[in-house]
Amino acid sequence: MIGAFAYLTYYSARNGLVARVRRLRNPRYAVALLLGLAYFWFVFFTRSVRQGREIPSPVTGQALGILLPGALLLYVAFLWIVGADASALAFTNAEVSMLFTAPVSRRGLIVYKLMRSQATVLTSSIVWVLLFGRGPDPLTRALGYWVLFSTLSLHRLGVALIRASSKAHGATALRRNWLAGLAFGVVAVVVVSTFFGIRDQLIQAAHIGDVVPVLTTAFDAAPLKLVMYPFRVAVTPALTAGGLEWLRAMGPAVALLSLHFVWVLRSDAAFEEAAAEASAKRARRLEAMRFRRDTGAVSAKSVRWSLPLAATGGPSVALIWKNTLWVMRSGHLGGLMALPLAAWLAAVVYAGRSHEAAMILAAICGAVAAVMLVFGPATMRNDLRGELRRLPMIKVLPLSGQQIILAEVASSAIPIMLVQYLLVLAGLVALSVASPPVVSRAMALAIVVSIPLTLLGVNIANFMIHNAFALLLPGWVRLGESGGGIEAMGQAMLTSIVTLVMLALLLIGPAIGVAGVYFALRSAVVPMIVVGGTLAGAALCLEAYLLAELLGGTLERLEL
Amino acid sequence: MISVRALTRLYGDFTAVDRISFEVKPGEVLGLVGPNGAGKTTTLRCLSGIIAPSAGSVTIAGHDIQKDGVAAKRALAFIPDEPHLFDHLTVEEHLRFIARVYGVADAEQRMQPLLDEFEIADKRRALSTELSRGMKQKLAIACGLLHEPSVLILDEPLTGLDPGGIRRMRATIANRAKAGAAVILSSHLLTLVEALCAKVFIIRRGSCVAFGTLDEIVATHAELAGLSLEDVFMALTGASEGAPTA
Repeated sequence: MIGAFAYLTYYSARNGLVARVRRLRNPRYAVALLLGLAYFWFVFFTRSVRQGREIPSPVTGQALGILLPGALLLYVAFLWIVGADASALAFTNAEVSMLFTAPVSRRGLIVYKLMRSQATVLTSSIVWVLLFGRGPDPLTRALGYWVLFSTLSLHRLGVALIRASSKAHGATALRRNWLAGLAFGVVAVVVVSTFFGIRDQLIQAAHIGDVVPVLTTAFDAAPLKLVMYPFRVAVTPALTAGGLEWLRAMGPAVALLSLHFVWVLRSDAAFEEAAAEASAKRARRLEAMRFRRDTGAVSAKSVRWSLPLAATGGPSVALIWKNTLWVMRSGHLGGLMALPLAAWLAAVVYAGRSHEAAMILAAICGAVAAVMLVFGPATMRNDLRGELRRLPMIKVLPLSGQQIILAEVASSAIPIMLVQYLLVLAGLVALSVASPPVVSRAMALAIVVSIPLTLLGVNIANFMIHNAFALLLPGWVRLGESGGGIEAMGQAMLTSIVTLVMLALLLIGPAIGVAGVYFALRSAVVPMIVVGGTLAGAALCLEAYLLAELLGGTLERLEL
Repeated sequence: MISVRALTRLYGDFTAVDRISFEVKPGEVLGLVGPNGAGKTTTLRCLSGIIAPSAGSVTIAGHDIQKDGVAAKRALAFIPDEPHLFDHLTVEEHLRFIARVYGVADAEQRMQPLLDEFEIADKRRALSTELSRGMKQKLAIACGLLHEPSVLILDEPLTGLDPGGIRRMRATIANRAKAGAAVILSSHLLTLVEALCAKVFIIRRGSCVAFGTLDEIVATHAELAGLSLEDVFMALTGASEGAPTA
């Protein structure tokens, strides 16, 4: 059976690679690959790296010896408590239908799963060596990472199996897995009691540098030292530079890996059922990703909130309504509102305390709003880019191409614009309540009145460009089902560059208009802000409208 | 009501649909049948405006689907073989969405009977992802019928439906035709086609093999006299090759 698994693993990897090489005949993949490689070269192989980059000094030595095992402990605790382990058990649909129905034992399936996970483990090992320093002996460092990641992969699978078993068999499963449960319980008690013991010292620490000695002392004292031993063992080879010391570190690490292997193989669980369930979740997640939607499915509970929609009126409003419901139900609304809520809270609590605090807060609000212009379209794809895969469904609707484009673009642009507006308002509040106030009431009012249209114009234009790119060059925006890796990185870079250049071109006209307003009204700041902001926003909206008219025909002709 | 003139669709060098022409009058049900890969779905996608014809024209309720697509689509409902629904909308919200897009002023009055007809009234607040394949199909059909289209294009509408659903769907199609709708029904269930369709369009490798009532088709092929639609189909498309022998 191992031979069949090895065959499947090898040929899947080989065919995937061949397909990737073959598609390089297509310029979009070739250019994207070249850009991605150039980026990798720039990041990993610049002169400083070639000289052998090591992990920066503030996190080396003693601190790293605590931080890494500590991080590992937190990760393992997260796996046990939260159980974010569904993907550890997940198989593809083809694997479920071919392997689960074949005369393959549960143990055989686990071995197969472990074999498939090696591709990720090996890639991660190489990337970590490149990222965190190769040192004098990159091969031993890579082997150290391989042992660490393999152990983690097995642990993740083991936890997933125990959780699946608990779900299926309840108390019986707990009795069967008592040793693992006891080990976790002991670790949890020791860590929590140690933390409470040093809590006051940690609170009193003025700098992060003062925390390290406190933690070092705690980690070097029993019983935490004993509890942390396996975590230390797992990370030591990755931190040790070759030679005899590395060999000595590898012994216990490999033993730990072997123990995990035995543990996972001996785990008794309702494996097939749990794996089938995890596989179904994975399939749904992949489907959601294909639609460029949020990976977290919309839950049934989220339908408690809805929005009214009149049966008559502008038909394209229905598209905005539908997309807004998605923002509300997919969890994006909470994510979007977190930033302005935090800004408003900070403005209310801190801004009145000092002039500096108000200035810093306003600067942060402004910076975050500006950054959202760049990253907004990457995170909010509640528009045509998200609909491309269900284009036939949209195309049968009695709406013109221009109507569809405008509604889809507005669906993404308006939520981002509202968040930016709330951030600007929070910044204004901070500046207004500062002592003495940084902005006058008249100026604040001018900004409050004019900025919505400006923000709307900028966002509509920005999202219009991203959607235009998707419409005109759909293949460039999406690199097919198996898109990923270096080409995907290169493609994302190319898209960002082109869209930023296009946005700059769209901004030329409004910028000239704003410059004219500035020279005409520079002696009257408040009217200048109102007229300039309104003019810029209106001009950008007009440009976006005209662009939508041009693109309407393209959408109507588009076939995917 | 539906007029197709020399419709041709190419995919590169491959001719998926080759100069086909037919008409479907109000109240008529046309069965579009053919073997796998014959060009049925391509034809239906051209008719519903999803893809553009390479040549020829399609007129829906007097509107050219290419030149006046919005008006043509307002009169049309296309129900594909695979129900495409929005994951984050409930059953009721799908109908509200369609009502707004098509401007159905009395949507509230129309919704309940449709939900009852397709037995999804108790699922009105369920997300589409919570529905079974058959219920999704029923919802897609209900969405298609909400605006009372004068042209109905159905691609394998019975896929996934239970026996009761199939019976109701047959009645629905017949009732819509009786009410004056022009219907095109594509299906591999030849008994269904024979029972519902006044005319049949048999397509093979993108070309028309036969078009008309079963009697008209038989009249031009004397050797097919007395045969059922299934036998006529087998004979005209060559699908009998490789069929199991008794």
